[in-house]
Amino acid sequence: MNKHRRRTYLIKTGLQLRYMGIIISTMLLVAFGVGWIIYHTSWSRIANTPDLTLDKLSDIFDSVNTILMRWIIVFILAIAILSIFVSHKIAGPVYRLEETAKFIASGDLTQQIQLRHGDELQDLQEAFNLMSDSLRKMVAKDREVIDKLVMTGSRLREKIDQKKLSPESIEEVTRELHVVIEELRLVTSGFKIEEGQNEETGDDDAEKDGQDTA
Amino acid sequence: MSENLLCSDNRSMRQGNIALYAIVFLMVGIVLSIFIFFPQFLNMQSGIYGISCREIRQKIQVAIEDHDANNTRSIVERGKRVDLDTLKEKGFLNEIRLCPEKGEYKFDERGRVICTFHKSGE
Repeated sequence: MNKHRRRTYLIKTGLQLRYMGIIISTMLLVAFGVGWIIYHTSWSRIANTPDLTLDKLSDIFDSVNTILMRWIIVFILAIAILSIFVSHKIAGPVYRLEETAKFIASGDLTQQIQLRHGDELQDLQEAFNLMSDSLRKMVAKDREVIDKLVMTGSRLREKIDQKKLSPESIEEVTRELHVVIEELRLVTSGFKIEEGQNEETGDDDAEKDGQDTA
Repeated sequence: MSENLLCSDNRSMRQGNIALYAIVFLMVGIVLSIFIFFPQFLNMQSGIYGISCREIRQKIQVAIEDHDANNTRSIVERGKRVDLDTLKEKGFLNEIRLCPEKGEYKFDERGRVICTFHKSGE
């Protein structure tokens, strides 16, 4: 629980300050609007009543309340509409990220995220596209190595069929196989799949295994 | 299947965090409204209505006194409703104004105007 406790509250300063600004400016706008409406309606009613007496106080009070209620409804509607637009700037990218992540999880690595101009999370989009690019390159390299492995296997099959299995040719095929396996190992050794495992350890293991195989 | 359930649980927990803040915020607003803002508003409203009613009663009282001074027959009928229409028709009242809290104007035992809602004849 303590591991996930928040320590840095301004972690994405630009984004957080922007949203802070939106919230504060909206609150100030509403406060100013409501304040001005109360001030304007009450004082204009008082100023525009020529024979003002205290018995008309209740009428002024009621009319100020009515006008205020109408304006509060207008403010709520305006803020609701505004909040849809503001939240869409972050909900849209989140939706696209979710959908693209699902595609990538299902194996389609061609998916890229394209956000609209002015959308939030542009940094996340770049990082996500970089991740999908690098995954695509790894898989492409993986396939290339597998093709080589298949070709080597085919050559070995040919030699077995032609009965040209001299110790030199066996040695040659074994060396080729070893090179291909090493390449394959290198492709996957960049992945960290266990907690605490680091890249160096992975590489060392790969080398060690390679030597054992040789 | 169980993974899906776990995922949806996690998602609802994550969403529940924000929903919890919203609910707490709303509850605080409702509690403040019920216990502070609304009673204050009602108190202020009844005070303002009381002031208006008192002023209307005073105007009616003045109109009645004017009427009685200019007529041989008094309009005062103890315990009965004040005839505001007659006062207006005869020009002693500029307009008929009623109690903002729907009280009726009547004469008390001393012949003074009282409001059935605000009661006070003073």
